[in-house]
Amino acid sequence: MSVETAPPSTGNWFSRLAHPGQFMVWSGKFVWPLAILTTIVFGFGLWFSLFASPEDYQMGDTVRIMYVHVPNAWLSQAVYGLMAVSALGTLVWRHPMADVSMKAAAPLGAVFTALALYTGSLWGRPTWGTFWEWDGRMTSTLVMLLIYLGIIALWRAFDDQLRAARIVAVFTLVGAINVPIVKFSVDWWGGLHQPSSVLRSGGVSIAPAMLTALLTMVVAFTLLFITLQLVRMRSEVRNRRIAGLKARAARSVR
Amino acid sequence: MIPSGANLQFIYGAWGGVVVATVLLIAWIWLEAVRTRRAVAALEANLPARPAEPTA
Repeated sequence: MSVETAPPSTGNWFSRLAHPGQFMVWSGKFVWPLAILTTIVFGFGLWFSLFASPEDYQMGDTVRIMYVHVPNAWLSQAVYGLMAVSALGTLVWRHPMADVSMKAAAPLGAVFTALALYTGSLWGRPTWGTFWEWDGRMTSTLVMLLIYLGIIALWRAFDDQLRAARIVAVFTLVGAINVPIVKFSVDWWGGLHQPSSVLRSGGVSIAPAMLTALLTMVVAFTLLFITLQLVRMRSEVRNRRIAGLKARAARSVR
Repeated sequence: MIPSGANLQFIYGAWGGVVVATVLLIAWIWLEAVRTRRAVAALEANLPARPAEPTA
């Protein structure tokens, strides 16, 4: 039976989700529609960000860096959150797709975190007068990038991916302590970063035209992540199928 | 309006970096998907036949 096909679905949605063959069947139906939707939302996002939104009265056009910086910063934390949930799925429920999700997400999270740091430093130079400052938000985000790179290295250090999954899951859960530190670092330690201006108790403090551009870009980048995560998970399932087929072929030669 | 005026190098540097990195990321993931799909198809096409089940 091919990895792209699966036996008839039985059981509840959770057990169907656990079967790699079933996952390949249902996820295959989502990839292209998601890719098209992502492209459309990005089109609107680029229009809002570069044409429709006004200049900031203080920062001028430099504010447009926000439309690529904030989505990447949001995803750097959200992807880690997904990895932490997947790590629980691996350790607690031993869900077969949880470690696939964990492994697929790590490079994506690393790229989004690196882009958040890169765009942030390019925003900081004209706004604060410096590319880098060791304030709580920047330092904890750099630590998050190092954790992502550590997780990727850990996956590559083991031939046995099932053993690697348990070790990476523990490491991921330990590293999850950094997520609230990144989120609340500005409130706890201040620094150059401004406090939250969207998710805050006093309501949104951004001009509506800028908020529209920002939220559209956040949705576009999130859709991009979901699409790429699905494709990477499908590739990882195939990679494991390849390893299994090669082992079977090697046994038959003996 | 399209960005203009001061600090253009930072605006285009940030946007350009994100665009290049995103395109490279999509290309890498796409190529990985194509490679694994072809590898599975090639291996499944050359599967050794399973030994016949013993019959009573």
